[in-house]
Amino acid sequence: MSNVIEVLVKMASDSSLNNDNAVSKMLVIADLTEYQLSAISSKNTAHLAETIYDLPMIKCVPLMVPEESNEIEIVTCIKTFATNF
Amino acid sequence: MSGSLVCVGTGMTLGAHISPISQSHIEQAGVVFSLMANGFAQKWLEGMNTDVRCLQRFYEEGKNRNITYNEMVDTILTEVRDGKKVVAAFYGHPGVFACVSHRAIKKAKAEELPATMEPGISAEDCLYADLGIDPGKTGCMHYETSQFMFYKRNIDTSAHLILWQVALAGDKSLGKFSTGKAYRQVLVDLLLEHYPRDHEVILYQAKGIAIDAMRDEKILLTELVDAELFMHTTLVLPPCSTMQPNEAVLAKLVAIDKKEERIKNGPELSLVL
Repeated sequence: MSNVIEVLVKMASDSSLNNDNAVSKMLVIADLTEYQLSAISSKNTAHLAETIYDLPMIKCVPLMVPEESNEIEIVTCIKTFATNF
Repeated sequence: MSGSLVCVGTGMTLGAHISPISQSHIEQAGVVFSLMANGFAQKWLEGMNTDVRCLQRFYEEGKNRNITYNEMVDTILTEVRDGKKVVAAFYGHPGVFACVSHRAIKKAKAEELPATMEPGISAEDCLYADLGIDPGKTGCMHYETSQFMFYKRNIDTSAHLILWQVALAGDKSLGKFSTGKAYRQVLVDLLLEHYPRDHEVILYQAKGIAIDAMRDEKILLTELVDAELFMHTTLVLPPCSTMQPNEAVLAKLVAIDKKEERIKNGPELSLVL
């Protein structure tokens, strides 16, 4: 896994990295280039993306296809039910 | 050996939301098919398994998404039929606003192939946390925007109304990646039948990676036409009216309460033979 991805995972999953100071300390020991550090510090996703040469291109996020009314099953008899609060 | 399919969600924010069971499924899969929301998440997934196959190649602007999604389902099912332990990983929740997973599981089950789904943290979950909305407070209605426009709906303006995929408002072709101002104006006109012109609405986007900021941009309803919208932008309409008591139902409930009170306070009867 690339160092940038590892840092992003760490930032997203370590609750102690909840302020700029803690993030800066973590970045000091991360094996990143100056440009990557700058992109992360300035929260510039586009610049960060430029630093990963084989970053996959995402053309489209998964989108729902709206059902036509004649495709929707009408449930007239519910035999079982579950409650999950 | 029989193949199997598990559809998992990786959550919205890379690294923060994936569940232990979903991560384990990905790590132990024979093949992982993926639909992520950004390149970082795709790259992250590729670090978890040596055979991750991105389904993005099926998307084309102008191509009906029904065709795209059926091709994705067929690709996934081919590997399951081939006896492989297949995982299909989707960003967010695999079963919320994601028809590929539902179609793949339905088709696999019809062929008596084992197929299950593991939930993930969805955009809806993030929305409640980020915007401080509790759907249990006054209720919450969710619609896919185009479907909301195509069909007559009973809108309850005392509940939150949340419209997903607002950037594709009114797309009948199912092939566009966004629709223009004219389409959005139709949506705004429809909403103005129920909401005042100066009603404040929210454009919401969950954060995808740690350095992103979530979007909670407040605009007037009429400003939606010119707003910057992305595929993953969601429109939130807070309530503009108060809940109206249902007097008929309340009267019935009062009658039941009174009856139960009488039984509770009445004399204890004993059977004398």
